[in-house]
Amino acid sequence: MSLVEPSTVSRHSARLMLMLLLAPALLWLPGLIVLPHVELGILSMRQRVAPRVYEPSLAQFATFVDEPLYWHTFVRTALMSIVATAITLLMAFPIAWTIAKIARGRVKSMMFVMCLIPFWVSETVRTLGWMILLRESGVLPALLVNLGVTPAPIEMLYHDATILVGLVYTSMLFMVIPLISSLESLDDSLIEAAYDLGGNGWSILRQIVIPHAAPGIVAGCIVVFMLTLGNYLTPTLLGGKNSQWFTEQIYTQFITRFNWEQGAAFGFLLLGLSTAIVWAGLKLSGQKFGEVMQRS
Amino acid sequence: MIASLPRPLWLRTSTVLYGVIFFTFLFLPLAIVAISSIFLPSTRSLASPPQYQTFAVVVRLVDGDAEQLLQVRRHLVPAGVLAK
Repeated sequence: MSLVEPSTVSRHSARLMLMLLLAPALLWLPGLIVLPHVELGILSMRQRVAPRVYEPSLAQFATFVDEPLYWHTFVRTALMSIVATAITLLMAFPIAWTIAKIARGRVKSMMFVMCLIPFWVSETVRTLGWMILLRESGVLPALLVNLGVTPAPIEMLYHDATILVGLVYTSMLFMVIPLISSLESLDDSLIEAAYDLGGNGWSILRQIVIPHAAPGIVAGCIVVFMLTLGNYLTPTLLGGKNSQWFTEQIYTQFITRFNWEQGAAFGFLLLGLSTAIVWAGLKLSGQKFGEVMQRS
Repeated sequence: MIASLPRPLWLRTSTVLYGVIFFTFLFLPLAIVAISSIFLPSTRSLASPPQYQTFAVVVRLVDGDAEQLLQVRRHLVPAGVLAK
């Protein structure tokens, strides 16, 4: 006669299986997400008063407030990220609509794959492509000279517009995918019924399409905004010294100045900014975070 | 407008036109990189920044006639050696 009931054994094995399945996430989340943030939080709230002597302090945050360059860069990064997100949404929506509602069969699959292919290449290579196109000795300025539009090649790099082009390009896929998934779930018969009832394109877009696609729109905007705000490579390469991107300030503090305390404080400020703007976006659009994240 | 509803010609044309512009925007940088790397290999010897400029030093070996060409960084060579 066995001492342990079969139901107890199966319960134990189920619990063991659950623990094994959860183990990677339980190791990954605290080890690579929570602990580094705790460490950064501690770093950001201490000040070096002597070699290897630190005191709790909010001096780094005071430096951020006192120094106009940091403030300006912070606000500029936030505004440019919002503009880049809006442009990405405006550019991605028509193509997502075409893929989800107009294209059929092989054309639909081909268009979807064509949206993915550019993102199989590294971001560095794609950004270098824009540099070859837009630099003073590049393809586009030479073309403008040959067409007689400009008398001499013009430098198209290192402008705000160039940074925006790069950011929109880099994050396009992350807007297109949630938009397609949310638009595909919209029943065509709703649109047909709306036309039958006298609706026009604009009223249908405003009253049926956008409310239905809102979780996908918000999901795409959140992902694109976060990617844009935290982007380092594209603003640096396309904007040069004029880019004044906040991630550059973080890089400078950590790598160039070895001021980890200031860099950690900047990192937390950027995290706070993105959290605040995402929260405001969710409140304004009336969406719930959990519902939105399921679409992304 | 959806596929099951009739679409006017201007709408169909503008949809195709926008698709062409959009995918040109997506693929243009990649095409430029591909063309540059495959058909226009850079063979120019570009000037390096001063601190990395190199020059040739000919060292005649004592025990032979062979000459050895060394690339030495300018700032590593004392001024007296350069004068000789």
